[in-house]
Amino acid sequence: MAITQAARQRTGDPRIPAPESHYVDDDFYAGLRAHTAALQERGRPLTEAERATAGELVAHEAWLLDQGRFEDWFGLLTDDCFVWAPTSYPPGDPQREVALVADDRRRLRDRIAWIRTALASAQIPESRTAHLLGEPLRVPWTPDDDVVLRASYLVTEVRTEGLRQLAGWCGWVLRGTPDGLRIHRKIVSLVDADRGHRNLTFFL
Amino acid sequence: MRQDLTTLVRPDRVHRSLYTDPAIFAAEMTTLFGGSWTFLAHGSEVPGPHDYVRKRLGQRPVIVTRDGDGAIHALVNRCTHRGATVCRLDAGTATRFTCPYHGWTFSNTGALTGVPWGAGYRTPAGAIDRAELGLGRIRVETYRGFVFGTLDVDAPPLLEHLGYAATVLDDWIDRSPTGEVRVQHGAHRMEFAGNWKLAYDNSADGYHPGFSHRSLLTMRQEQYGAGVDMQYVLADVDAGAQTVADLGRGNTFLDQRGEIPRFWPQAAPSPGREAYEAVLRARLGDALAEEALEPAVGSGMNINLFPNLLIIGNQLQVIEPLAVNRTRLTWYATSIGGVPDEVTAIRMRLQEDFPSFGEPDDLVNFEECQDGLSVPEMEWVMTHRHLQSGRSWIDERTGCETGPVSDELPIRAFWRRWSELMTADLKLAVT
Repeated sequence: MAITQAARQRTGDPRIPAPESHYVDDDFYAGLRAHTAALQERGRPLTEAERATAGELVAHEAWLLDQGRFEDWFGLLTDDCFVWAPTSYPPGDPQREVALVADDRRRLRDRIAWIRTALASAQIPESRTAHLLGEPLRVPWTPDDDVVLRASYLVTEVRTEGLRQLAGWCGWVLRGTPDGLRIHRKIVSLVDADRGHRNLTFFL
Repeated sequence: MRQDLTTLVRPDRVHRSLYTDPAIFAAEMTTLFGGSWTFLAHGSEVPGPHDYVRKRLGQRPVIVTRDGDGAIHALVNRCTHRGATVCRLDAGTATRFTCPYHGWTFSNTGALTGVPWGAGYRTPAGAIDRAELGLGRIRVETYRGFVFGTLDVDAPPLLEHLGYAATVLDDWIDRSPTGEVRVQHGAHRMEFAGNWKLAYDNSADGYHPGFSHRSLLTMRQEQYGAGVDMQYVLADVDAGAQTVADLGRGNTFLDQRGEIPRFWPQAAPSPGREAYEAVLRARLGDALAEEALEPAVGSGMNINLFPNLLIIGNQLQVIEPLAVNRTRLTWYATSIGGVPDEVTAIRMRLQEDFPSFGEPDDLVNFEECQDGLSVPEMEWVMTHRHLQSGRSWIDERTGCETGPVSDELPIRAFWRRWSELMTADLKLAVT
């Protein structure tokens, strides 16, 4: 929430320099490719303890998005977070392919600020979503202080008229921080990633 | 229908039915898309021998192939036996296409090479005439990698058709130090519930950005202050340095470059910006790094090639009409030769910016236009901005009628070409 307030304070005051973003480089992309590969391996059900932490976090994330509480959702992300929804299926190389979403922290913040202008025709009225996650499975990853999870994924959306659904799998890299477990990376692999879509301006 | 059409397009307005009438849509798909030099593909989509990619010419299914000698062909994806498509994958490599229905086989230049149990076609005159049963071939010509096709047997050569548009296209292509463009980086495929012409109208419309893109501009201004991205559209744009031009034969151009002294410093912040800029400055020195970064940013050009190719920023937008009120706008991402890999990585993220924060608002406005245009009692769409303001001129250097950026002269130029083609006696044929 603190970051959101900082972003709000920035609003309307162009003298405050825009935040910089330094972490998206070759090493970052190599890491994202490795996580994407790992997420497609066989996973195991969460332990009781993992369900209470990692399982609760991804369920809470979905709930905040469905409630339109994007600032609170933003608070669940690490400082060097990234959200990626490729245009290819299975996911291709993020460094050499455009994506439906490929957002670092700064661009996620822009996305929230864009919706909050209340001027975006594409979000008037705002989308309503219902995220449905299958059982999260933990996939092998070293070092194992990061929790890498995958779940089947279905989001239902309605804005003006007509329900629609997008399906695929969702992966998360969760990382311990002084404030608790946070979302370091999120990957949404839609089964129709490379097909036509209407308005995708809601949060996957 | 021809007679009716001439009453629907007037100098200052056009009739709503041009956007809503399924019969007009059907005629457009046949005559307009078949009779123009219509964009089919970019050569880099079929980079190697025997590569192919599946496309459409209007609604006709087409395969664009490269043969073993490197020549490009456009074949109608329709078996000459019973009509089934013979190619059912979006892209790949194949020397021949075998119809899955009865096994007729065609080479990737269209020749019929195999008919199972061919004796069944024997006549007293002899065996089956394979020469007359090849795949339909569409006349194709290429300009610097851009592949166009036409069914108009009398169409002038492509270069003559493009006219000054070829020079504008050169400017865009030559942002690459090697003149090389690659369409190999995925695409945004955006669908909207509206007529395809709403997208063409919009691409040279310099009137809408300050309004339709208010969300983007406000976000940018609030988060980053003035001078970032296209905030120059917030003031009276006709007092600014942007222009629109009629390039002839329905091709039009909106030029934003007068407002962009340097591209990189003004670009929207995107993932990787700081990290890769630092890498390039360290490796190349400031001057070379800054030069390399300029074409990472969108070109500031909207080049609209009638009827279906909109080259905007760094992307190729292809208009794919699905029905009178349904359109897919495919934004192919590009990279260019002669720049470091870091520039390609930056280009990917920057080519997501407008699809995220800009185009979605336009698409909703197109859909709302389609809704409004359904009202039978309100017949006209106005196209007369700057028609009589005396602000346009014939540019001596280009020979093209040019106007202030909010001039609707590109829309009027589109409709002139549209009327010409839709009322012409075209002879459309495959070879």
